[in-house]
Amino acid sequence: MTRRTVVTVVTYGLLGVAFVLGIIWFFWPGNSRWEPAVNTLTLVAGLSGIFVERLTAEAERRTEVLRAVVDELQENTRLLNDERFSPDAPTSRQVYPRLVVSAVDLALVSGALGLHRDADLVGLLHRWRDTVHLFNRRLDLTEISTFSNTISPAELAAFHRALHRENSYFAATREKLQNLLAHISQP
Amino acid sequence: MAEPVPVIRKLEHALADDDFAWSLLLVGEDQTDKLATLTGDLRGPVSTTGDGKQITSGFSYWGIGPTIAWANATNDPFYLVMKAGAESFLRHWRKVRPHVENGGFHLVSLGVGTGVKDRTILSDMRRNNRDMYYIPVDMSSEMLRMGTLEPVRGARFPVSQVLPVQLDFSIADNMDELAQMLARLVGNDPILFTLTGNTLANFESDEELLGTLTRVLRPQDRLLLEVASTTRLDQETADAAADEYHQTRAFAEFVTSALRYNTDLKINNDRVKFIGEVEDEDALLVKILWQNDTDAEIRMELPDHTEVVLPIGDTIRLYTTRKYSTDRLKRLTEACQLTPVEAIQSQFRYTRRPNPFGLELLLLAPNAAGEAAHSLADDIWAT
Repeated sequence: MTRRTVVTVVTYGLLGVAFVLGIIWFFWPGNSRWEPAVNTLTLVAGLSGIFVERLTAEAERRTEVLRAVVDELQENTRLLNDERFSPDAPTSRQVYPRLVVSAVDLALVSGALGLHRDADLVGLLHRWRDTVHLFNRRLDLTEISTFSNTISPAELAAFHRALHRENSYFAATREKLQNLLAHISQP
Repeated sequence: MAEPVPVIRKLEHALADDDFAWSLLLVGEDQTDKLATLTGDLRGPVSTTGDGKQITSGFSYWGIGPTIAWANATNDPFYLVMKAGAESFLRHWRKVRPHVENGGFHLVSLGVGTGVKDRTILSDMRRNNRDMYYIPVDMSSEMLRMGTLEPVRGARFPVSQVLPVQLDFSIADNMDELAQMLARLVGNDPILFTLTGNTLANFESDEELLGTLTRVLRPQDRLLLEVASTTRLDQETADAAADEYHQTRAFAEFVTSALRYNTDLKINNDRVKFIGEVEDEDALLVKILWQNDTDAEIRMELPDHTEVVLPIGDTIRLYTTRKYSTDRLKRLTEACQLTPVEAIQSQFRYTRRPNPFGLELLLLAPNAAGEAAHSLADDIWAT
């Protein structure tokens, strides 16, 4: 059971008891000790309620951030499956689509990811961010080379071959993306 | 006692400053074998479609008679395709040049022709590589002597760096031997092989010839291929392609010259037929053949003094040529595992109406070249 659940159960429990005591006090007002009992229970529930609210907000923010990251990773999967990256694409020069990392950047600076709980995920996201930057840089270099005046069809074909080689950076990027998506989708 | 000095070493000094018209020639084959082949080809079966008796490519230029006829045909001002071809070659070569200008290439010209194209290539390549060799290869020693004059006199290519080789390069064994000799001669230096002037199209099986040439290419070597191209493939265009050759009298003289020179056949140019057809739905094939369309059989004496009877309707294929579509060229280069480094195509512009015919110049590299060399692309995409 998580901390948030415990605090929530305690808060609602205290409020429930205070409510029952309040009703009993209403029908049998003779006992003067009802009042401090109800007041104390309400006060404690009020205090623990502050934690409930804070913990719930944190959880919601984490969920939102992770949803944005998953959306972005799925968008990146779509980009990697773009026809310009297809092995059957013509070996002509072209401008390639770039992978995006804005949601990952935001997730890392937002503080929404738990220090201990998400330590593995934070590490993976940092490495993914590096991978995307290096991948995009390679696309820049490929375009600079292929759009030069002196490039021959053989050299263009070499770029096409290098991109689709089994052990190319492209394949490594795709594998990293799949691993990251699988890690995040785990409950 | 000192060892005797081989004559070849002394020859260089012996020929220096000698203004007599000596020319050096390395002969690779016994010429009587060639004559036997020609005689054998002319003894083929009876065919009314040009698929029996024939003069195969190379023999059309073999001997002084056909060589002179060829020289006349190329100088004929009415042979427009030849003129347009020479002009387009210059334009195309300028685009291909950057790929072979540097790197210390030697030139091996397969089928030397008039030598005009070799002159252009040599004068450009030699600017960056003074030590390059020029090795023209042809079946005809007369063509070699005539064809090498142009680069040597016209472009002042040093005669001491020219080695003409008389060899039928369509035979795989000959090509293997040539490649081994060249490897010993130039070591690991790259070689630019050229097959220009639509020579590839003259062979019965163009794929087999291209395969034979490709087999000897090392990863550093390149093949410059010039072919006639067409953008349309139908019977009307095939007839137009046949007509293109029909229009020039000097060309008709040339195609019949091998037969005139090697047999006693009286040739009337009216009996020479130019037949165009679509081949494999991706090229136009033009067969130029002599046909016995008289109403009596004709007797023809062969070089070995035997006689061949040519029944009514029988044909002798004199010349084969093609015009290639882009698809056929792609199929050929893929089948021979060649990668185009550069390909430039242009249409003929000498007619008023749009012309489907043109010329294409391809610089090809063996497929192994890209894989063996560690390219910039591999460096960028390495993990």
